Amino acid sequence: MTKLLAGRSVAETLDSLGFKRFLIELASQISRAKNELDAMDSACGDGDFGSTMTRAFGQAAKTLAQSSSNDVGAILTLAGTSILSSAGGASGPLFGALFRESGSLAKGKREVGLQDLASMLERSNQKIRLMGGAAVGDKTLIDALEPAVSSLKESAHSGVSLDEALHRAADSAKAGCDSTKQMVAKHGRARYLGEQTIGFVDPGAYLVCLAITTLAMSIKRN
Amino acid sequence: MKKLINDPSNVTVESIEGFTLAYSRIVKQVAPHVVARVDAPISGKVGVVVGGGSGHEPLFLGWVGLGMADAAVLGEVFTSPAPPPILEAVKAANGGRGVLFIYGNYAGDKMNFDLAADVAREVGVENQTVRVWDDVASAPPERIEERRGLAADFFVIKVAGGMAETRSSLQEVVRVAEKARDNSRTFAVALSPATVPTSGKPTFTIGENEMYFGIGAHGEKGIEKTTLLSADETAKALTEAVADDLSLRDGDEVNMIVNGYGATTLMELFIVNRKVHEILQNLHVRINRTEVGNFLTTQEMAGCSLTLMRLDDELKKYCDAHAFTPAYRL
Repeated sequence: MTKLLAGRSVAETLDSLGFKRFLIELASQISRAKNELDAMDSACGDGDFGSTMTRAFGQAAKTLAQSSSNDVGAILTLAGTSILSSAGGASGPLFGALFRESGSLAKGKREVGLQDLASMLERSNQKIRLMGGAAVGDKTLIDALEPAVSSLKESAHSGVSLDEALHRAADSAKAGCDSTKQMVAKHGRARYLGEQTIGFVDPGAYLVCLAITTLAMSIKRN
Repeated sequence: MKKLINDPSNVTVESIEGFTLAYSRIVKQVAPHVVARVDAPISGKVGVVVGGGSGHEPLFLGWVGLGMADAAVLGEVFTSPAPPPILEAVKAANGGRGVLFIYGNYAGDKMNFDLAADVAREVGVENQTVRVWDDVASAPPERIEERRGLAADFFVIKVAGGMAETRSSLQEVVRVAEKARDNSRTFAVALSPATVPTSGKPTFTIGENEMYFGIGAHGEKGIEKTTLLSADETAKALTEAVADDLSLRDGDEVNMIVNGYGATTLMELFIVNRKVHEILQNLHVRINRTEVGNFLTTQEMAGCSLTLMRLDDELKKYCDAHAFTPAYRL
């Protein structure tokens, strides 16, 4: 299903190949942002978030490159499991859940549209909140993910295009990510640093923002 | 940063390899991040699996052996291991009577070990978990389940491992492990920070004439920065905080650990120990066993912690039981 926009077609759905391309591109984006992410983590953590995520998403990209599945759910679950299995720390299970939970909702689907995507990410968001116990305002990845999910749901309701919806979601994630700069960390080991965490962006929120932005860009390219 | 390492991203695995070569009569490396007793799995015995981030040696892998843990799994420095290596440890330790996970109470460890525990259960390995939360500085007593795990890991592993040797059931081993945990408290002080190999930066900043009470094992914010106190004054502050939180009474009996964080000399630790003994004697608290040395380190952080465990006959028995591991022999 495509819509003609300015003489060029933009997909209204994403298939397994689209998700594969997105995840491989995301792995390379993370690898490029490695030092920046490590530096962000140094402010409130032990400074290895970029290295760990580069390793984990790199492993996921490698695994995906060998998969020929046309099931969106299988692709996302494979990516999430790969991240979970190679990262360690709190970020492994949390970012693993981001893809595994979305994947479990998309199981058996050859393509997903805006409404599906909104539901998938809502499920991931709920699971991550449950696992980590974090809420909006706690300076975690939830501060980027939750506004992006709300934005997608709103877009699905108002019937905008997938392309437009993803760009709006990316903007919401970016605003959420920026807002973490003023927050005091309340979860994980960073919470013991208290007010010292003010002035630094949460690297998990930054990664969620990077992921949704990359997804929005990949729609255009496809 | 000045460290004897090769590539910062290889420190954990290279260290485990060197460790295994040093203690090959006691342990074997069963996966890059996992060591197990040479004789594991032991049929008919509860498998004790311990672990967490590396960088705290001898914590965890040093206590694999007779009378303590069956397997230890380490993540990268200060980072929880992922579920696959945890499952390798389960496989190495599972003697058919179930597996007990013992680790410090940290969010990352909890998530990864819980995921591995679910998978282990799905493939038919019965398992239970005891998270250690002995750090009095990290939350008030009414929220004890939010406290971090420090050197009491040693007591919990010693007691659980001791009982597991008697071929007791998983439920029994869990019960004594929880009892050991619930009767242990730790309070720590740091004099200088650690450096994580990957970041190369100190975990916190502190003045030349300052010390930091209540600091976490990864440089987490403490309770109070004070001017540098003497060993006696430091021992007093540590003992009072622990004894108070444990509500120690006249006639109680304890085991204790004066733990060095990495850069503090045994000479200093013995001076602290001397005063802790004096204070406990004045409180009419009897001391059964005293451990002084590096149990849970934080790289090259300077400082120490005091752990006390209130004893009953059962805890005393398993603390006094025979053990033969790389870092603890009795």
